[in-house]
Amino acid sequence: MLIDLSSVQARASRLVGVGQELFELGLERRARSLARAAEHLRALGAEPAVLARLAESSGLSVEMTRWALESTLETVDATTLLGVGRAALELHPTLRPVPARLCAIVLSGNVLTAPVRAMLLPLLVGVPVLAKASTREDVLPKLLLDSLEETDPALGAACDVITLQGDSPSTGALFDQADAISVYGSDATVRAVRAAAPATSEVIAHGHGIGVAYVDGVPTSADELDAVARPLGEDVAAYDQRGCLSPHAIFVRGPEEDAKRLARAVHEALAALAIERPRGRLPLSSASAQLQWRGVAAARGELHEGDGFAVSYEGEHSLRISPGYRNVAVHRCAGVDALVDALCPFGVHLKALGVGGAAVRAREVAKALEAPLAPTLCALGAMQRPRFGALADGHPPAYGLVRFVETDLAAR
Amino acid sequence: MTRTELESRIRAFIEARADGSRDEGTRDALLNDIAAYQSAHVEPYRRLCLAMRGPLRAPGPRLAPAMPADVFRYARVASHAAELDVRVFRTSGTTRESRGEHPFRSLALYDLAAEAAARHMLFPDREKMRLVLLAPAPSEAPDSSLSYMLGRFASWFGEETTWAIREGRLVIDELAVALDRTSRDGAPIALLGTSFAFVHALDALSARSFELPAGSRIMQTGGFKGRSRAIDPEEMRRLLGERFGVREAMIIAEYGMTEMSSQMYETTLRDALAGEVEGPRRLWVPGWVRATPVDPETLSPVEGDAVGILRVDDAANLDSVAAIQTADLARRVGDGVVVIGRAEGASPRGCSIAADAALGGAAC
Repeated sequence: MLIDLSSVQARASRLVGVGQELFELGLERRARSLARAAEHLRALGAEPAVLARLAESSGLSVEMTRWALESTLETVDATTLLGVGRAALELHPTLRPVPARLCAIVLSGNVLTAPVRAMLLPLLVGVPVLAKASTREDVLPKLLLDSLEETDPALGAACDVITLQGDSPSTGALFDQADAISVYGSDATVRAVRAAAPATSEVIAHGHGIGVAYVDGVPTSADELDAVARPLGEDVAAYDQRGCLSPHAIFVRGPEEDAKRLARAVHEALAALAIERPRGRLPLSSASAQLQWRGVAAARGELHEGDGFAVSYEGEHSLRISPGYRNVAVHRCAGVDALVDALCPFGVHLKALGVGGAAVRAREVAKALEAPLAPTLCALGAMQRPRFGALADGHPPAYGLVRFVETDLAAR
Repeated sequence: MTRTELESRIRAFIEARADGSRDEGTRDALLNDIAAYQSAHVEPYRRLCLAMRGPLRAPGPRLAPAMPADVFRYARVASHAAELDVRVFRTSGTTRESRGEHPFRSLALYDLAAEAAARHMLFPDREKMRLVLLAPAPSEAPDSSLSYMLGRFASWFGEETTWAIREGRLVIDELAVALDRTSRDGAPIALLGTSFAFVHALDALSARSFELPAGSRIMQTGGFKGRSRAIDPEEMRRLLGERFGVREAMIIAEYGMTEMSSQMYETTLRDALAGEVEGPRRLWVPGWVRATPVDPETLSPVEGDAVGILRVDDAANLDSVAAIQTADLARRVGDGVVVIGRAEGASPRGCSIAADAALGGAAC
């Protein structure tokens, strides 16, 4: 239901009003309640009718929707939440945490399960949440709210989900009382939110981005090759490659024949995943972009197409952004330095870098990254299964949500 | 079949179809022969044809593979060596790497096709008239196919020609003088240019309006991609009609691409001049061109008037690739097509333009 300006203001005021009570519930209560809410949502999501609704609204297949919910919600357990909360709030014994009075969240609807961390993290550290869901995808945020209300009404009272028309004047009211504004979306969306945000609000941008995978040496044995290709396939297929962490390209250190072998192996892995977790519907505009992308791949490299996916081998040609929907290019590179050179143009938009291969050197890769590159580094297969407490956009989990007051004047 | 033989056949076919007649059987056979020649002589097309023989393509009678237009940005699409280029047209874009290139070994077929189509659809009623062109002259934009075409128009159709864009700027005073003069002396003009240049002209002319003499016509081409302002085509025609005093039937769009040699024009101007009942506004497809909305996954023609991605087979594109897959949404309307808009890849990443530019692959 679309709501008007005065209603947004009223909801924001009410949420600000319960902030103190939320914080005083204590971290342990909040962590345990949020974990129970995640479990409740997990159970809800297993119901065929709910699963079907989520699949329909997200555009993912039922099988992929199920996977997305499971893989995201399994990371939301009480122990993990307690650890994340403590790390965020207990920086130092003399530092008293001051949580934001309200976190306004602008969700983009791009990735089905993005609202989970977006909404739960502020609540975990004692910050009420007013989430504006995308008109395209508001099912999951509302189900999450229902789960919160069901499992702990006090937490449910500190959270609200609204939907607004695109250019609604109510958008400004969303931000007026928010000390923190978490925005998911394109560069244009982020720019618009920054322009609309009060000067005193912290804007936490989760702009769109891409992921890249790096394979440092292709194994020679079939089993070891499969152990690399299968996780790569998982990373590409997850969320139909529509997420900010989805790998658009796979860089391979090694001779051309090895890179081609890997391309073929990833093709096989995607073929298996096309059966286990088929791709969702393909919008016409994406299909058009896919056609262009595949044509270039075929014209300048090797293209391996499948039913709902494609892998290309493009040698040392320049990297191209994939249209998503399970289209990925394999490139050769000379090593870590060449990889970093290829990635530099993406800057802050490089969100995830998966590393693997016969001679994995994750530390070397991490050290070689030049500013402003600060992707989430992870193993192959984990690119789209970040831990709940993982860095996001190079920031600690509760970035922008909590400030601190020094209580011991002698300490400074 | 040799290049010379093909060129001769294409030339004869264009000349025979210059009157607007159709012979789809001969056209299709010619296009197939062109595709066979190009699959042997144009390396990127050869590779594409090999790749497209996979088992997942739609079974049954198929069109020859169409080359996605993007390939022109990443590979040289030509059957001849670069030293034989007489001209290279480039798409718009900010970096050399981001611009598609269409090399020509000869502009003879381009000229033949362009003159035939324009004479049939844009100047069916007169040999020559005054031209006012809202585009840079070829000397200022040597790699623009639009500027080249308009430069040829000046030779073929221009009684006198005013180029109203110089050194990248609209020369508003000269434009106004040309328009005033024609309003005074009653000689009709053809006002031709890019859609964006027309918007700029409307802004620059401020509140001024004109009553151009009967027989005056307006042709606009190109869209607004990458620009900060975009105007709906109907609204654009209304604005142009009001400002220049030209009735809407005499305001038509032209569809062309750097990657093509031929152009398509909307039908209303010719229909109006012929006194024919105006059918639905649509693009006339020259007899040597095939325009087919296709399903982007199966690549098969869509049924009826369903929306598809426009594929254009242009027989005049001898030295590159005749079968081009565009990224434009289109549907069949009567005997023509209507282009609905660009099917921009649903890039879920707002960084795509910035990063694409950094990588030299900017959308243009």
